[in-house]
Amino acid sequence: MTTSTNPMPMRRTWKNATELTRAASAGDEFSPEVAKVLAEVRRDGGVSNVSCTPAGNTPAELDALREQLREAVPGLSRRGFLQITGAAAVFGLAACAEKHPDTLVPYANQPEGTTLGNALHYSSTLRDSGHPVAVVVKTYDGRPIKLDGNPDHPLSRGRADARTQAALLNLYDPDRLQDGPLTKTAGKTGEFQPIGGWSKLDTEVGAALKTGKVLLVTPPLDGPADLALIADLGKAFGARFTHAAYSAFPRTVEAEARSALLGDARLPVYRADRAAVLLAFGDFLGGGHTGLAEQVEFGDLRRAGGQVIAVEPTLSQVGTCADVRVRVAPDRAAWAAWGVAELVGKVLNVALPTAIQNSLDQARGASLGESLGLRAVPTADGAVPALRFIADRLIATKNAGKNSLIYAGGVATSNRAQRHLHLAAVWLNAVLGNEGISVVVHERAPLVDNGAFDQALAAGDVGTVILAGVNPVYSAPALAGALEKAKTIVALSDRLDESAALATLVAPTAHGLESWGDAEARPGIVSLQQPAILPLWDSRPWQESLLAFAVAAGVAPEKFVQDRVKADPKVLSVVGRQQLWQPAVAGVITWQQYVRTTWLAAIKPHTGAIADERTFWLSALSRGVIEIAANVERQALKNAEIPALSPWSTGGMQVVVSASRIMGDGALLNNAWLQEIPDPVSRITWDTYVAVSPVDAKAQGWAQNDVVAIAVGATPAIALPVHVQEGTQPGVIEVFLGWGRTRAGRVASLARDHAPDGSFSVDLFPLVGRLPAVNTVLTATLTKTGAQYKLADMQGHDWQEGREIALDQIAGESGEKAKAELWERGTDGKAGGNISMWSTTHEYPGHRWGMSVDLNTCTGCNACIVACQAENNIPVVGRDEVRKQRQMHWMRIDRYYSANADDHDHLDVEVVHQPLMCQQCENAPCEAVCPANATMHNNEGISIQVYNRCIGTRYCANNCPYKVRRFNWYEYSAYRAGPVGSSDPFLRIAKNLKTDHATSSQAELTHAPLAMLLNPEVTVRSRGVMEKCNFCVQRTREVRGREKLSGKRIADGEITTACAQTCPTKALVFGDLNDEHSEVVQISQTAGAYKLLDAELNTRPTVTYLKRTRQRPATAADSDKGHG
Amino acid sequence: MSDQSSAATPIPLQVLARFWLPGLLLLVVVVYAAYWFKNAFHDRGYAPEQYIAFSHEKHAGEMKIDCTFCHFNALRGKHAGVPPMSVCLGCHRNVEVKDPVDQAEIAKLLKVADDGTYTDADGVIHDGGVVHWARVHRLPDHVYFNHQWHQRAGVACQTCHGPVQEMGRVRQFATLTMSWCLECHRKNNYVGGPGYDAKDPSTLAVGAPGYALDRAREQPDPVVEFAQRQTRGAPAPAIDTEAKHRTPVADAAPAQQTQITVAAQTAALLADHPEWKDLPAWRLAALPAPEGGVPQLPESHRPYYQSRADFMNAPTQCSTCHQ
Repeated sequence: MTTSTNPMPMRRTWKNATELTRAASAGDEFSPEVAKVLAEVRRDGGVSNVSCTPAGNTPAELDALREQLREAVPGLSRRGFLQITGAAAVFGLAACAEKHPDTLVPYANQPEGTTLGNALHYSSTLRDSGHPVAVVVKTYDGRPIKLDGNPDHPLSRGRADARTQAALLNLYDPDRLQDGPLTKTAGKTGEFQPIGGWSKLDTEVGAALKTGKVLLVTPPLDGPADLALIADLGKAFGARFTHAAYSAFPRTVEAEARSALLGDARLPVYRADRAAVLLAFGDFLGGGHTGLAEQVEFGDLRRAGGQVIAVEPTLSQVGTCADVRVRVAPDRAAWAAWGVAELVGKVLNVALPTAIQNSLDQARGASLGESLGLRAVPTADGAVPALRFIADRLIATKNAGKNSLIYAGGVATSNRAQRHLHLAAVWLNAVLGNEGISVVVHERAPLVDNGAFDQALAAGDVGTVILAGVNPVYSAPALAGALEKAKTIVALSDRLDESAALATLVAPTAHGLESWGDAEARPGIVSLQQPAILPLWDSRPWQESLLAFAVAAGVAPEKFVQDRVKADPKVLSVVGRQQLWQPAVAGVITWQQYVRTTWLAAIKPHTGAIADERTFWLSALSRGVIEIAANVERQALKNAEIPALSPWSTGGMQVVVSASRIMGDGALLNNAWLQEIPDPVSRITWDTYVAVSPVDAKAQGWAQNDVVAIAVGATPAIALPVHVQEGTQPGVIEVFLGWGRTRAGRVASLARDHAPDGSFSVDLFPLVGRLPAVNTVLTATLTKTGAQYKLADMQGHDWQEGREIALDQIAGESGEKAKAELWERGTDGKAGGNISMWSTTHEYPGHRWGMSVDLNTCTGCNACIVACQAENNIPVVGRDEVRKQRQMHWMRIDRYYSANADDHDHLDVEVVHQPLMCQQCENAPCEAVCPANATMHNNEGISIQVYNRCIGTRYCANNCPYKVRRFNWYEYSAYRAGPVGSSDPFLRIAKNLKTDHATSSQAELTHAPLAMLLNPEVTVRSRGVMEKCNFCVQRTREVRGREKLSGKRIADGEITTACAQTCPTKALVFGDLNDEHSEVVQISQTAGAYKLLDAELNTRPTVTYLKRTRQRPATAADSDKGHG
Repeated sequence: MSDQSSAATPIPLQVLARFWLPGLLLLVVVVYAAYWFKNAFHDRGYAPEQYIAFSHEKHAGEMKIDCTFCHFNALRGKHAGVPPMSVCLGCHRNVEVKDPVDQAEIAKLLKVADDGTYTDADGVIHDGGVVHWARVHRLPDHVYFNHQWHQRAGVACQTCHGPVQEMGRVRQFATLTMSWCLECHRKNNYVGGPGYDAKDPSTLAVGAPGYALDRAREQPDPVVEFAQRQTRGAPAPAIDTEAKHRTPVADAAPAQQTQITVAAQTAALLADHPEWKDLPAWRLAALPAPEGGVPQLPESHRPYYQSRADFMNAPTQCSTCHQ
């Protein structure tokens, strides 16, 4: 005994007294003597009875413990004794709490092909953005955590737009219906309550469907299985069945124009990639009618050196990307379009429609362009009248054997007041030979909104209305009255939205990531949708509900029915399984079976090579997309009677009603990620506003953030804060649809109702009613209310003030020269020989990651920001914090204006969108000032941030010239109560991405579903910690791991960051700067490349920018060559 | 003099002048205590009680089941993972255990699987038909650790997890602190690969063309000598049909014969289908017999593989039974 005077290593610890005594049996840390004695103490009892909670131990008990131990170990030295009893007391009093409260839950059967901690990817298709987008879903442990475009899909090409990226948040939205089907307690007026299971719902709906007219309302459909289902239902119900496609933003006026001039009302696909000139009278990018595919093809147009001309009343997203932008008042847009048509027609010897020609002849004063108030376009040959310039460009393009594209779509022009604009666009496209090339109608055009819903309701004899995934009451409030005349309204909806609130029966629908389905994004390109997660709550796809309803109504065809399956109760005991089994138990085929059958019948014959059904199905699911034949139908101009142009007005404040560029039709208003995405043009988040011209603002005394009341005709005045928007035509205001929903969910409602100083998420649909029905350009009167409201603007300053930040150049001017100048003025000691304070150089022996950003193709669409947010677990901070410029986005898109010196009112601004992420400087100013070495340069060229070293001095952020570092002022990711000093209650919902503690119980997760959204590869940062872009270091690590294991160097493009991966126009390219063949190196060496602020500050950024290049060919010379 | 000067000297300085020595000592004690507590609160030695008293000593120690037989995920990915229930049941549905204490534990295990749910000692109900294990090792969220890389680099499980094969109940062996990671990485130069000199970038092997981490295996693991891992090419050990705790399987006698046949057929299969090389041996063994050839599994094993569910629950490596 005396030989072991100090038997214990210092670091040996125990959790409690019990453990201390048991430790002897472990044996390895004690001398045999002590171990033996401790074992005796334990055997005799007493010691192990000490409670593990501090309150459970009286001092007397602890003294007894010490005494017992001292007696038990008589030979122990005093020091050893103190150590034992000291440790026991410490843990008895303070540290008994378990250190790892969490449990590890294994698989029961680990599915083949899975590896814990490795992601699985599924191909699918999502419609959250309003258009079908083929995606690849990344899942960890069965939870989707990231969406990316499907690289095999010819339209998405591996890219996704902002709304598709944000669709992930919709899946985990806690405001979705969770309790299964609902019914109203007392007819149409009562409260909703659970109906008691799907079979009860099916029975009730089936009974209602047995008699009377049935009106099924769906969104516009294109999927082969969807269309087959509608056809089957039509056959099953016979004449009493009407199907109507409904959309908030119908393209009715466009279809009417095509019908009038071409005799074909089918809607075309616009392909910017096949055009050399895009003439946009409507917003081609953010207008509400175009989606990801158009953005991707816009990138093609830009890269090929195509020209974009925008003719528009307010600054739109395509206007910010235009090479030439011409302002025109909304009531004169059609005149301008026909003015261009006249000039084009003269050259091509095509006569205008008679009535139009007469109108133009009557209106013409000195010059049509001057009468319309159009500016002259500056070119190398001097100023050219706008209409002449545009016509020359179109003719020159045609003569060069290329195509152009005239686009007049978008929500702002989708009303009958603008029908002449659409007519002119159709006429021009036909005359210039664009029909069938850049304007394409396929033999199988998708099912679109044709007004059938309005007509069926107007008839007033509908028995049952089934609203399947549509919300007409929000976007057409006038329809509510007509809807209520129906005997039964069944809403298939994922939440109790404005329309579902009217319903008597509600069947919760599953999210796209929980459902099967298909889509034909464009004729001939069919993609499958497959679930990537079990339904989180008791819901089913709306198509599955329709199948069950038809069976319950007793009209279903044979193929809707299958043998009833008796479910194993053990299987049903697992949460989420019941609803999967529900159809089989009821004897209805599942929607999955229906999709599969349809595909085997309709799609498989197109893929002759694969004979086996199973092989076909699995490969189709795996790839996600199949291309089948779809013939293009070319349309020719017909001699049609067209009414004369209506004269333009002379006074009044004209209203342009656009779709929100972020929210679209408002379906995603409950999405906090999208709420915090700044508008691409105004950079305002969380609220809507009225955009006014700087000229009007000066004349009327309106300033930014003034609240004005807008009165249009007889509708009650609507109050909105003023945003003075550069580039807006004087006498025009712009307002946005898609905001102010009352029943979208907590984020939307709280953002609307409960901000401390009021808020302006305002619904403007009452202003326009059903969009196409607006027959004249709306005019409004604006009165100042005297109130002020601070809009949450993400960008403090819109002008570069002569500094070289976001650079642009005119095409043809020497980019090489400009680049050389920039580099020569550098202060890095290389070129100018100046002294540098930086003495160390970095070595990059392996990889050196870098990025290039092409300002020429960036459209400011924000997809990169949402992708970054999803990938890097970036929290939402809320309106108040954005006002303080405390947003957490790791990257941003700055939008800078520039204007000629004589354009004092900033009406003809030119815009550059500049995506700005951490520049990963070699001479990083942030790294030099960190007192904790929390930010440092790694040997792959990334300035990394070590969160647990960071002590929050914020020196780095203050020293960063690019302002890309973000500080957690509050624990944005975790807190529920809102920050101190802020009474923004929606923060409680929007921000609690993280639950209090990790849990794997399904039941708990359904209460805090947002926790499932987190990317497990990325740390959730806490309060007081600086964070910033690290080039998705988890991705470079992961693929580098593959490199280590395989011994092969990874290929260029194998690693990419979330932002570069999703960029629809491929403005961002990521790669290895040490590989001279990599794309990023090639791009960085082209003319027009520059490093941001490097010349001034010698920061040596790793990110290279390419200048915005404005295509302004000398028109006269070109057109002379063309037709002279 | 003293009155005037003490009035002129600020009081804090007076206190400092008088108590500087005790103050210094106190500072030393505080710093020392802080250091002690910092180390004391490491999780070394943490050994929570589990719902099922699973003994690594028995499985890995006595029966010499390879770690990666159950923790197969360590070979494939970041996490070693807790083995799926099917791995437990693959054996325990088929073998008989004599020790009554063990029998009780196994009965508990089977009951969890059969009932689909169980209530633990704290009255918490767990679902899913699986045991919810108390977590022993935990790295902070900001740590990236990859089991596969370390395993491929030849680091033995015991280097970090300690002599698990001797632990009745698993406890945390290492501190799992950053300094502990760095200690090993610095000592063994794992950062840049063998022979890496930070001052000479050309010596960086990791990521350079032609470099494979397997090269690191040429050097024996310097920290712990581990019992030789069984690899596919290794000669089969003698069969001990009388092994404790195990029921002799019916075809134990020709087992060695079977194993040789399987090995030969596996080699033949791989020659035809090189893309199958990463499939586990048991998966290959369950593939249908080649035309005209003998089935790769003896008939007595077929029941394991009759349905997909059985298949997943079957022993996943031949060596589980045929040791």
